[in-house]
Amino acid sequence: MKNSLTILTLGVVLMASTSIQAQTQNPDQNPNYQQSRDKYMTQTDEYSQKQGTTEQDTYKAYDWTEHKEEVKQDRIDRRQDRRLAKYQSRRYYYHPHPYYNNGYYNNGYNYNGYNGYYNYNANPYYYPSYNYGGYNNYNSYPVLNSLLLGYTLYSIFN
Amino acid sequence: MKKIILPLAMAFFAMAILPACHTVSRVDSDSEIDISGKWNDVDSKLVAEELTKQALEEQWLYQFKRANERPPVVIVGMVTNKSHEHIEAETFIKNMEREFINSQKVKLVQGGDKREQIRAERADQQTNASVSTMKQWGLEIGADFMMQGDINSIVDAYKRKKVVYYQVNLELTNIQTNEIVWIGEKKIKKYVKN
Repeated sequence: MKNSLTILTLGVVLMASTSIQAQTQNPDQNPNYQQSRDKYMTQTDEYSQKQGTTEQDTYKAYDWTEHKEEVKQDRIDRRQDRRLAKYQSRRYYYHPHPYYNNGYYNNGYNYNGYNGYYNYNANPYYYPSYNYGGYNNYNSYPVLNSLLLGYTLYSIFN
Repeated sequence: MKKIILPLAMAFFAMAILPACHTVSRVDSDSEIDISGKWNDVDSKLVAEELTKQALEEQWLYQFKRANERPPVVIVGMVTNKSHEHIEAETFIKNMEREFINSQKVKLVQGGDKREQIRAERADQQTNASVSTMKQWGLEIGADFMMQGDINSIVDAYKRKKVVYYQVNLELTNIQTNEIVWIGEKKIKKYVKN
């Protein structure tokens, strides 16, 4: 008897609390709001972390001077690549007299790599001082070099 | 002959050293210096001044205060830069936030990563701080409005001449009702000749 009374009391309390909650709810509120709530409750972190930040969604506008600079840079890069390729090909196939390497003498009878002339670059260490990589190391120490030049000139004329 | 050599050597030395030299001088942060014609601190400052003025003087603020008898609480959302340049909106947004707080007309709440740090600290206090100083959960102020924005630009260029137009818009949206209550706007037009 006591158990059933307790269950009944709990049931009444639960119903009362539900009705209070229903009363506090806005009557104009969409009854399906829970669907949207459930959807966004799982995504809050994703959006809130971007708060106070700037999303960069930029586009590239045409600028005559920038375009000119880009074309110039492309040309420099292309020349550099071509020069580099030329040096690299020279390293293995360079011959001091290109005439002899035009197929006339090099007629396929090239026994053991000998074609009548010494191949200077068969040994890649023969000309080890080529600078294949960079183009801006012609004068790495302008101040030092100028000092040396100045000192040399000074000492010559003294 | 000897007399010539020494100055010549000095000249060589000077010529070698000159390109390496550069000067740096401090200037007033309010001074207007335009170099390339791109977006710079002057534009940011103009935007901040104009939008702060608009936000604090327009009707939405008075209407909210009349209805609620308290200043509105704003959280800063995301600003989307859709222009042709890299623009960081934080430079003018921070100026605006500062003006909001100093004027005491608008309250601000923290959002984004900084809010996460605050919550992490609060969580840490639950196990490390004394009971009397430990901060409680669930007592943050809920924002009434979210401030979001866009930066747009139009570029008209021909050879060395260029006209750049920037339009910065900020808007406040009521978080409860989704109603936009304020749109601020600042337009900047520049004529650049290279």
